[in-house]
Amino acid sequence: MPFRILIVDDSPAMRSFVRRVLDMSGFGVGQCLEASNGEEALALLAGGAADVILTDINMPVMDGEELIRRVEADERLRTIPVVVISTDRTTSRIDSMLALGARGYVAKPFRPETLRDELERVLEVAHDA
Amino acid sequence: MTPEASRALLAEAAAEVLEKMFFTELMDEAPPPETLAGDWITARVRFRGSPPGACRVAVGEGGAAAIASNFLGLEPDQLTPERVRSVIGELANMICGSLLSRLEARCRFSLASPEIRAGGLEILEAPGRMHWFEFEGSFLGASLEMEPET
Repeated sequence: MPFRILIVDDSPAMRSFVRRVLDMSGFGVGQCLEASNGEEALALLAGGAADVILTDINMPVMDGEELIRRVEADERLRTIPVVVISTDRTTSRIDSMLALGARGYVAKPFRPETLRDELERVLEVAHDA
Repeated sequence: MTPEASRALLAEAAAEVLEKMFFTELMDEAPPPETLAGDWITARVRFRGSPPGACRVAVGEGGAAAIASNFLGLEPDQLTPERVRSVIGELANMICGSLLSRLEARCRFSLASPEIRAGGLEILEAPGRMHWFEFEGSFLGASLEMEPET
């Protein structure tokens, strides 16, 4: 089943990389939407749902923490799983993002299959490789 | 931290980032470039924490284009200077994050956005503190500088 994925990162290079590794990993991407901060992401979500949100933490305008809070506070959005992608590998940071409502966390640097596996886990997709 | 410990930490972090995210390998340690002139892209990532500091990365223009091509999955002729600089910013961000995660047991850090500049290496404030490595037929320099706590 192809999934609609919203990638939220202020780095265009990182957004392109995530698209690329999703293709490389064989994950079923139907549509990729991109936003450069949480505010843009919420505007895109208002226009149509995504199946999963991949977000950075540190971004201008609205960061990943606030995006997760807004998604969790909106009953139309809170069913969409959020996966955090960040360079911060500290256990305290990972725990705090999961406590906020993130369903998954991928620390950079990561291999393509790590992202695929985390998406499959949060979306409860069987891996047939 | 001794220069040897710093070099080993930088080499481990850079090798991990290049292998996992840029699909290339860091080669042996290299001597510093003979001249500070030339085309380099440098990025500095400041961090707050205990102690605060900065991580710097410098990549020769040829190597920068090669890893940008790997990272983005684009042919070299599809790359723009802006895209290459953005990728080097990501590289510096990830090397800094990887470095600091190795110190996590002792310290807590918060990274700022990368500051990216193109030009000769003279734009680095302290090129002598860089450790140099070979990769993709080019050179990568990296440094970790901790500031005294106030």
